[in-house]
Amino acid sequence: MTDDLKETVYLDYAATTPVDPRVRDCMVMCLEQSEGFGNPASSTHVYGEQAAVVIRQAAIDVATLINASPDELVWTSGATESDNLAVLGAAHFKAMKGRHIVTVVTEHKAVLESCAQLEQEGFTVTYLRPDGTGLISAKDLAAALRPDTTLVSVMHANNETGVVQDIGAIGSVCRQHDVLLHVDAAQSIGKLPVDVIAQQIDLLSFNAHKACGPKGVGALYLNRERIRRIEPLLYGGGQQRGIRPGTLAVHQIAGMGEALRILGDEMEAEASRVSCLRDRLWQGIGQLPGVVLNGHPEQRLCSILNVSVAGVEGESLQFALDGLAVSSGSACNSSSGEPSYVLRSLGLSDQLAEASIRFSLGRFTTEADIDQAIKLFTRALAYLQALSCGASMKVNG
Amino acid sequence: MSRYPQQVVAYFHRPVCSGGTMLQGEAGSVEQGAWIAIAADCEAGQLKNVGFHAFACPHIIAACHWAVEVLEGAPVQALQDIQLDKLQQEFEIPVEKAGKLLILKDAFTSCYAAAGSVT
Repeated sequence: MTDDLKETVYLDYAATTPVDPRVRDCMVMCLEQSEGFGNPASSTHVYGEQAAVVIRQAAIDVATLINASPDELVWTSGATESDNLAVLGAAHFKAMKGRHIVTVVTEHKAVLESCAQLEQEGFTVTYLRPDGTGLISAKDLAAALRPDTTLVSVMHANNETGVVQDIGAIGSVCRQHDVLLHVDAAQSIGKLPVDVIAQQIDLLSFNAHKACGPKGVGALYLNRERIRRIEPLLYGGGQQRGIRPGTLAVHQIAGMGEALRILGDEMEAEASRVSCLRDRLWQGIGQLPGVVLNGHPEQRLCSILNVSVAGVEGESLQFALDGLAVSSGSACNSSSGEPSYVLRSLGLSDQLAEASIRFSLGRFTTEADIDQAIKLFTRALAYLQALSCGASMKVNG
Repeated sequence: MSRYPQQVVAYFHRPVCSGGTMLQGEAGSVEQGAWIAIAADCEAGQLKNVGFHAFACPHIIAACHWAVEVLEGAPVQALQDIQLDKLQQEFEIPVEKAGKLLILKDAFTSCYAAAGSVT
């Protein structure tokens, strides 16, 4: 590890997480010649059979966490592919019934850009706007549904603010109107209970790398009672019922299975521990001048704290936080050159959206990390506010 | 590991100096993405206590720190002789920040204009 990495406190778990050593060991085993390196589709010999057993166990572990059947899972390369496959695949498959989709303006780009693609193809998309705390209401959703609506896509927990939608209520509305519900659970998996039956979810996207598993693997849950098939994005090979063909990445899938098994075992204790750390962080920085919390104060993930600072320039805020690995809403971090569209849709000004910092905590975050983060954040703010005191007065009128 | 040039890293963290009270000028706004206020004193035609306040990106803050250092003790005229191309080179300021550099220039020019009314 380089000195830069050693000296930097990692609070960007919502971007990605370190791989748990137990997951790494499980994956390495699959890469050994004597273990499950075979192609699980090679059912004619023991190598293939052994790999298939590994895949089956991973499917059981993952399905258990979301109360699904192992046969309802499709392995993918990650949540972006799962989102694309869910939105495009379900919309295309149901196109004969209708061509109207409902989603939310604060969704991940993997959903929004899939919806934009559908619009190019002649579908109509209704984009719900959340309230100032980031929540949408089941009532607003019901009002947006039309006879030709086939799919609703709503994320469980927002990747920037951590705001958690009431998926149970949303699922109930969708089921009453016989509309499919897709949920992007990339951020919430293993942090909040997800029960596809109780919450009436028809398609669920998630991945491993936000959950101390490897990058490059994810899954899509398909409720087989509600949707037997979706249109694939890839063709050839026929694996996974042709929905997502291609040789399965056994070691990746084994890693995801192990990562989600661990989450299932440790979720409750871990959520409580991380929640305490997040509250400690907020207590440390929430009273600093100009600091405001973004998103709903209660209905949010235990692991995310998103704040903005009035009167401070976003890029400089990020720059001044040297020694802290966090995400910023600053335009300089965005491919569009615009401040966070999620925070803007909650009604924040460009300045506040730009001067936002997302702290995201996880399995290996310690109290010492939080105390160091408070110290660095306090110091950065003091410097920038002293530097921009006139600007602060202007912002505050 | 920084994606900013070493000069920006070095100058960004210089201590805040509010500057004098005799000459003051400002340009830009929070809405424009950069606001800079320059302040200095003037003794016998020379600049003293040159300082600034800024709401700006790291490149521009570093450039302000550099400029006020250079201006300390210089003739008042130097306030309007800030060379943007030199700043752009020194701090490798990306072209998309050219507008913010102009705000910096306007702030110094505005401070120079104040000198006219004082002297």
